[in-house]
Amino acid sequence: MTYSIAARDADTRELGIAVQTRFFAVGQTVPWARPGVGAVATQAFADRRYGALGIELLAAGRSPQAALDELTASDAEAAVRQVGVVAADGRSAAHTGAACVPAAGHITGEGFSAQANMMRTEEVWPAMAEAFAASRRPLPWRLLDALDAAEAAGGDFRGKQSAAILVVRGEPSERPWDDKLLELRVDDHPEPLSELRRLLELADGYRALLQLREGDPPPEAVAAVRRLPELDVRWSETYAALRDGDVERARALVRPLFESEPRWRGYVASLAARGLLPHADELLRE
Amino acid sequence: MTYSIVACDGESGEVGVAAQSQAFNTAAAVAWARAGVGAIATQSFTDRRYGWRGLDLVADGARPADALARLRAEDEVAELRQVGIVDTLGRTAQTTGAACISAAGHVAGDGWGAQANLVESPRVWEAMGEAFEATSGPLALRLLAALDAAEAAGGDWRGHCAAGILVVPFEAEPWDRVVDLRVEESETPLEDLRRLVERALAYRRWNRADGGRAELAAAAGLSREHVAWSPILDALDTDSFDDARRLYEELVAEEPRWATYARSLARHPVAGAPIRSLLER
Repeated sequence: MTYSIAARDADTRELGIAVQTRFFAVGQTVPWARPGVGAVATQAFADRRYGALGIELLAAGRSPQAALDELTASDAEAAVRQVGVVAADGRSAAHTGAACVPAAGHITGEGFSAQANMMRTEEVWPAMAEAFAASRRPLPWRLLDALDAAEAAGGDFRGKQSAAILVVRGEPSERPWDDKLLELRVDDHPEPLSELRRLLELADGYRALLQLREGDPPPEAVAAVRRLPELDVRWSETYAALRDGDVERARALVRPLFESEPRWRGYVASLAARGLLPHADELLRE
Repeated sequence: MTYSIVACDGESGEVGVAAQSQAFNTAAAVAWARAGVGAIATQSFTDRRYGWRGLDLVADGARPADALARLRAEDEVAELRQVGIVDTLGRTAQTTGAACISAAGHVAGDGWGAQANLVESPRVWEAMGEAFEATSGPLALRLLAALDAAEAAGGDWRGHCAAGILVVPFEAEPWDRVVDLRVEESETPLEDLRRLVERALAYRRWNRADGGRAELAAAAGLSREHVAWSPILDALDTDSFDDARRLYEELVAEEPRWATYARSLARHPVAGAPIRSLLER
């Protein structure tokens, strides 16, 4: 049915979950995380209670194993559930109920828990753990590397339908509403992992776009922006040109837009009226 | 740039929010709702604080108008923000900051609030309200009708957009949802979102069905597993054990792993009951 990994990045302390399944819209059910507390993946007749209360129990000081013991003890259907838990301090625990459909199992280690059920082979969860350990990329990409390894090791015999990724800050900030760093969902797609990869690249690109506007972006940000849709690249170059006072170059960039869609002129005028686009008046004066 | 609607279903007590925007990953930032509390849309230089703190304030008993006034008072750039709030009593509060990019504005009616910024004309938010009022049925579909009307009124013409919808029940655990669906970076975000919502509602109907699953699964394009098992479950519903057994054996002949699946499922204390009766024969 489902394979997932819950993990902590030892360097950044970020916490995250990535999951793929042959089930509709998995992102609203399986992944749970809270900064400074931990991450939980709840699947197999997925019960959100394990996610919501699991995080509360970790926050109250329980170890991942103690939290899982409490939750399974109070669940009459614990035998069909599968849950992976990782705490902010790197401890982890998992539960694969005796009635989970084979191949089903989990592997836990320092800073991660990988779990899968209804798989073609028992290679799936060790493959996730190996890929996660071997990857040196930022946490969202390491999680995706683990999912790719799971799919390569056999995946779900009934196919695939949805995927999701959730990453939160390592420690809570003073703005808890901004502590969710990444939340991407692919709710219904023939190739959920390819789509998730596309969205992750876009998320990187849009974050880089903000860095670009603030000036002095790192080289990887410039590269990430180039992978965005042509329209976004064009506007980011227009902003950069106007910021540098190069109205001629900005004019050349927006001319095809103005010619193909007259409403772009109104858009630029709206930005200009709010002082959001330098030299916009000159841009509109052809 | 963004148009959205928040609304309460006066009969069911469901509250929800639906939004479409040019901004990537819109729904993760814009749409907020909590069962038994209310729904919030926060957009235009989006500050998620309005969603996060707003739900807490309404949950603590604040009227939407008071919650919004308090959030704005604590915001140094409130003039940039656009926010809509509805609670489970259908009370609404909205703001369109003076610095929101035109056309920008909002309108409210009985149990709903529609808001938009950087759109073609005021027709966009007016059309949302009209469509919501003119549509009946599940709240999720009324919210989608409002988004469709906004798009038809000029909406967002710049392409590749995101959309999302979040509807929560009235009496439920805080983590429960009716629908919670997202579309990212699509040329056809509203069509994609409608397809997702219709499929989500079909899965809900399938889960609660007593017979008729096979037609439902085929018509709604449910998963291969649902399509494969529906005729068997339909047969079990009418105690046609021989038919069920024959269909099951055909399925296993095609894909032997369904037998392992069935044996495991049979161990489920509740969902396993029909499968147990199937395997015992």
